Amino acid sequence: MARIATLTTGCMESILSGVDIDKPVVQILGSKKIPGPEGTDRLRLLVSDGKHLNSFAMLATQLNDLHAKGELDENTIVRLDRYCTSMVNKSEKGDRRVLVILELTVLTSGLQVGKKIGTPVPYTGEPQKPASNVSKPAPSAATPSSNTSNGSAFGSRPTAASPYGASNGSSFGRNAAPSTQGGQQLTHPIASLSPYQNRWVIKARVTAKSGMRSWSNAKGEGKLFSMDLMDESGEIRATAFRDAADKFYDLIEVDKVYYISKCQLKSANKQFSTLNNDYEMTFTNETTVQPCDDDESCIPKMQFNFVPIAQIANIEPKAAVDVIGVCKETGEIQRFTGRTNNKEFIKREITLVDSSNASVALTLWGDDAVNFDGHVQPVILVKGARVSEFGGGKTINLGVGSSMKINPDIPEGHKLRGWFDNGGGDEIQSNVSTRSAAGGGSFNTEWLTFHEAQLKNLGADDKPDYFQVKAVIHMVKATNATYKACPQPDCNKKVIDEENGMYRCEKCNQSYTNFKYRLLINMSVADWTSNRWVTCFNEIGEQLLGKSAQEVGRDIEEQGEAALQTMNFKSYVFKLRAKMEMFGDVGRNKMTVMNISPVNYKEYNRHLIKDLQELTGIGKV
Amino acid sequence: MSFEPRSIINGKLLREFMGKNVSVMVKIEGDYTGQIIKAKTTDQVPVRISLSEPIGGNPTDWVEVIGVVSGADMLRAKEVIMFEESNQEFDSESHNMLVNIMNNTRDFYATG
Ligand SMILES: [Zn+2]
Repeated sequence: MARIATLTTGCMESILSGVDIDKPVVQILGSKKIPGPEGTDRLRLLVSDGKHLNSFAMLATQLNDLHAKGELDENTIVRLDRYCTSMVNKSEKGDRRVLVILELTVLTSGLQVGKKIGTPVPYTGEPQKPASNVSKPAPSAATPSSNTSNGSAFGSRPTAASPYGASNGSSFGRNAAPSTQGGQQLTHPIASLSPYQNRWVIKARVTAKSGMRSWSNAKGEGKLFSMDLMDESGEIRATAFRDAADKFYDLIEVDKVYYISKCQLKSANKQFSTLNNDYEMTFTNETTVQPCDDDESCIPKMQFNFVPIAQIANIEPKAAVDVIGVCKETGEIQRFTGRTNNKEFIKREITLVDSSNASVALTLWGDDAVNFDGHVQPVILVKGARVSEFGGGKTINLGVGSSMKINPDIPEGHKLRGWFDNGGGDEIQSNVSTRSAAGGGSFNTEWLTFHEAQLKNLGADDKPDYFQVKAVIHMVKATNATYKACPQPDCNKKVIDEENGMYRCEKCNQSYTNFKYRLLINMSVADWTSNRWVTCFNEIGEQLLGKSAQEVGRDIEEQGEAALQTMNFKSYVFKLRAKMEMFGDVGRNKMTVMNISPVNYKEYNRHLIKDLQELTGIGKV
Repeated sequence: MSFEPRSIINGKLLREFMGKNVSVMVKIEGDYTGQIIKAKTTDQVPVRISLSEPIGGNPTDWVEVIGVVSGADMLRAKEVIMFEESNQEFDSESHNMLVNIMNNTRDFYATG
């Protein structure tokens, strides 16, 4: 039988009084699921060090699946590789230090241990005694319904007459300036905040900050800004009005960690916030905010879910996305007056590019627009950018709930910088913001025949034109349909075969023993008026052949031209880009396939009937 | 069978093509095993189709009836054309519109 790991006896007392114990070993004696919103259940564990029990050990949600897999069953012995403690005050019971387990290793399974080790007793030593004599806010004044009446975050006015401020004001002074004990800050998890108690300090990271906005309505006017705060337990929106807005605006910086206390809590207005919290808070005149420069290990870093720019074309309008790109172009400041309220708006449009070889327009507003300096082509990160659609093109906005970082110090940022500085932005193939035009996805382009495209002189200058045509592939050039490209995932540069088993990439300035095939297929497509030679790049070629470029490359090696035969005599709706390109001194009208889709006959019929109706003057009967 | 010119029409046009060779797209409604089957045209006109021989097999919803107009709501079928099952449904609305345009345009097939 395997050896049973030894518990770090007596560690619980130290941990709960704020002493940092390195990787303590404890036994799990039970667990309880605390339901959270939308599947964010949290687990509360009963743990023992053989001497003391702690029934306030919370498992970080990322460890929930360990529990689900049964690895944290009763009697299991685990090592706490990373943890932190937080203060929670449980109304009349006073403060309690909660152990939050962030990382752990199972040392001996519960089945092997088979029993409770020692005779542990509940730990009772309270690290902070004065908490218990605090009077509770009068329940009648603190019912949630009294706070929901004021729906709009913009209309509410913070006042000192808060029912919470009155009863707790005097006793709060002790904690107003966060104190430390045993090297640990006494803080409360954001998830534990509620309007029922006001004695708390949170240690939170600012994940987003709005610009300063002004409002004007029947109740008066003023200005405000809001921010999103996050800690290990959850997130919350905070808004500062008028004087408080002025006082804290410059102090609050995105991605920094602060100790914050003495705010007013109320029910969240979900119309303005998508954060996962039933409450939001308002900064009052008594609010204190203190930057935290010490260890931030418990406060999660901002998480990004970056969407490649090329994919923004496929994202629904109004969705929020995280985007990182290099600012390739910076537009001028534009000022205009709102139609309804005569208010002046300031905006600036900048163009971001990334290694998906696509670009997108990002609109900045107000101060962000005025202060933006794009001449060094910085890396721009936008968390929660809002997607909008105009004429089939997608743009992104630095809107409510979005935040922007310039030259963020994260690996993705450094990677993009390297990409761009080595010529990465030179090969941008599509602009997802182009109206009625390119970018892939379901944008709407004009239906034309090849004959009409010629009559309209499309692609006669260096500004591209786009159109769509139903056509059939009838000739494919097999020669040079593939090329050998740099094997690096982000580099598609054609390599030079050094004829010695090595392939050299001039862009990476490196030789490789392998390469990857990329497709560059030239083919003739025809509609009922005429035909044109068009070029398809890798992804379109893969789509047409139903195979990866790698497979196609191998097929051509083995079968030659025959490998591309399956493409012939199939009809698609082609979205094409026509553009004048220079080959030496000669300008040539070049057509590139941006997108292909199977013929949707209903849609195609609608188009044909519309044309017929225009030609004949016969309306729908 | 030698080719006989025919007009592509819908339910509303039946009266104008009495005794003439036509092609009509119809959706079979209910039983298709008898001598006379009920169907609806692309413009929702109920029609009866008399068959010289029963429709074999399991017809798709929409069929093309080639025959002679024998009454305001009656067709005498010479041939019933069935279509392959397809995941794209028959665009009856567009077909109906096409019929309207074809029959209201002078020299529809004129070229040049
Ligand atoms: Zn390379």
